[in-house]
Amino acid sequence: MMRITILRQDGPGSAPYRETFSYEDEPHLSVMELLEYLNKHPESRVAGEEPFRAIAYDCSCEQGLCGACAMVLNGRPCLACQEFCDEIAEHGAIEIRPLGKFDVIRDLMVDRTVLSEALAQMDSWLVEDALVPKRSFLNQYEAARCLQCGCCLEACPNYATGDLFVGAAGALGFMDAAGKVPKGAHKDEMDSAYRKRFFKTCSKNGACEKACPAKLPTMTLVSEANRTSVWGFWQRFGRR
Amino acid sequence: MGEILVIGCGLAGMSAAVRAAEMGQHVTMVAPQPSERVQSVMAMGGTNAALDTKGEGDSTELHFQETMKGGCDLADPEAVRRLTTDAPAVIDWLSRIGMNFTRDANGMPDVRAFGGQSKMRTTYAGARTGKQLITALTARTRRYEASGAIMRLTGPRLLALVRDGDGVGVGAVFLDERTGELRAFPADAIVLATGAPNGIYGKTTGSVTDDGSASGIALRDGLAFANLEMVQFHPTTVAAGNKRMLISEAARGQGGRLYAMRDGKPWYFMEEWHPERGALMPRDVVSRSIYRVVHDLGLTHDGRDEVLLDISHLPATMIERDLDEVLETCLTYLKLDPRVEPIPVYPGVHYFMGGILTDASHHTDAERIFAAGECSCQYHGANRLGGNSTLGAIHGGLVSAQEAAALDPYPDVDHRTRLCDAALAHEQAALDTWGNGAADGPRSRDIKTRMAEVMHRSMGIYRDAPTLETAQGELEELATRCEAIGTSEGYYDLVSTRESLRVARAMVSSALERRESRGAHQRLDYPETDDAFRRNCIALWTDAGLEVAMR
Repeated sequence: MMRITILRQDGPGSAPYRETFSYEDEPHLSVMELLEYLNKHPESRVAGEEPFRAIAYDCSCEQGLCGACAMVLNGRPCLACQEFCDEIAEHGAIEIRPLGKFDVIRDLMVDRTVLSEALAQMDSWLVEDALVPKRSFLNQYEAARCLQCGCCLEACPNYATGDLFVGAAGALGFMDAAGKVPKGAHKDEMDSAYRKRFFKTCSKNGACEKACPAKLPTMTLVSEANRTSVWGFWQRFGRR
Repeated sequence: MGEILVIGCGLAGMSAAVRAAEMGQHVTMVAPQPSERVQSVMAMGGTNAALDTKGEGDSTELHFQETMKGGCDLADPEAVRRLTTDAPAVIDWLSRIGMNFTRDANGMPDVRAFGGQSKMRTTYAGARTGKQLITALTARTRRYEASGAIMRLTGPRLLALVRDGDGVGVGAVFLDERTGELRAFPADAIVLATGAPNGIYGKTTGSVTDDGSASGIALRDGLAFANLEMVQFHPTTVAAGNKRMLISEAARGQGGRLYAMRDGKPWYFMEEWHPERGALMPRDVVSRSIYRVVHDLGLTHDGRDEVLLDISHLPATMIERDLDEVLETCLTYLKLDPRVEPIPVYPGVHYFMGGILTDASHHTDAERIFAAGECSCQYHGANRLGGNSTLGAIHGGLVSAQEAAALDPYPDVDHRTRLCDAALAHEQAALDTWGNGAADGPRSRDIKTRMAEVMHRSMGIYRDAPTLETAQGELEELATRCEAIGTSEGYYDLVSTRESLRVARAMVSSALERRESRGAHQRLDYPETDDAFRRNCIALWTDAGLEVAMR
């Protein structure tokens, strides 16, 4: 028997509340499958308001490729489709709540618009044709794998919603684009945004890398971005 | 400057939006979710183009021939000609917008072998080609969002197409599932890039967001659909939890072998039956072979309907680098290490070759309405080759945008506004009427589960008339039941159930109408391919209901 507690919320701005479910079926299933099961079996709810309202959550690929189902499971941000109940339960209990650094839309669905806004504020795009390398873009490939799920921001001790600091999810688009942008005004703008909105605040404590469900080497990518867009920038002044 | 409405934000939608913006148009791009969540990110294998960088003598002509042959001569030759001829330029464009292709020693996008193709022709980016393509296109789209050329709206679902008295597309009405708000967008051209109708089969290898409602709405609102019976079963999928996950064709492209245990020894049935290409035959052939091994010869694996895919003989470093998605899927969901053990696989629903009929320029049969990507039908005939879906989606988006940009603006803007306002009012009234109805009723979840069961039973790898006719009756009954879905559910639950059922019914009727076996459509009662059926099976929804005919 597993005891499942879900932090629920009826709509944006309304008060969150807890509902508890008792799950007694096959224990090896993903949390995504568990949520589906609970919606199909409202009778597993221990107590709560009548009638039962289906638990709302985001879901698309169900195999860790799209980042939709990011939520907090027993205090840890992760993708619900990649975590298995029997492996994460603590003393037979799982607590499920929405990511805490975004506004809740309903239950486990959160509004992650700030993620795309951050990428836009970082000017993370190419204006001219990409500089095409002679070999594969290894770091850029890794950065471009970012799911924009938001788990890194949940874990980051430096990130607070609304701050200038965009966190790893906001900087990875920069890291993908930076090496392909030719020198010039746009590159300077991008580098400047990186220094202001990421470098200044990132304390490199590595929580983002630990939390990343796509296993991105964020610390390596940060070092590389610092080398080209921060230290390179100061060297340019030094030479004058 | 024209106003282009793009519906969907995957590979086809973003390609259309970006190209339209490049050509000075204003784009409104509407989709239920951000681009990071679309099904395109799940494409692993790659994108085909005859770059001929390996000295194999590949050519666009050969890409054309093999695509036509792989599709059992049912695809539109003019469209496939344009697709294969343009493919190298598409790869070049993707490079220029910053796509992180895996590159060969000369700095060119590397190519690898895929099913149904005699040359190495599939460009890729590690094991996550779809994701890398989406990231590159999202960054490009972001640039035009910043300049104001593209307005992206995330959340709204398509509710109706708006057409004028002559059937010309003038806009569309959307429902925001989260807020319940309706909105209409007038446009000079509409590009439908709404993806596959996965939902009619319940769970497939694809995204659950692609429920089939957009296709149902396009069908209801009068667009002609073609070859809906052509559903691809990908030969190598694995049972993981409540869905089947894809094991990329790249696993076989890189040297993976398929076998079944016979008399205590591995039997490499594909290599025996098809010595030239072995496990890299087109997907329909491989899926039928697995079906034969399991069901006709009774060679199961541990009592389960599965054969084995072995990549354990490949270098571990190569698996980790080029097949890392296969490795991750097996380790996470099967608790199996494919570097040392074979992977138990069986065919699963993967791709819909049929859809909204377009010509080679991606025009649908309605003026000013275009369709691209998996919701549409032109390139893949009776069976799609691996690596042609991402190519087809991107190319379709680009061509649609070019054609849309070439149109003159809609002549009567006031008339168009009135039509959109009227359509909005009509949809609002339907929503309000439903909202004042009963709270209780049949549950959409139950109806959808039943629909999926009917589809799996009747529209599997093999079909026959009695099973299809029974399915037809059951689907009709479900369609009647779904009208009573009550307000204890969301309005979109009703729309999604009703419209996906519409597609399911058209699909079953199309399968009945095609009285031959070709590619993905195998009739037990008509086992031969018949040249009289080398035509499109057209489904059309009229005032009299569904009409299906070969044309």
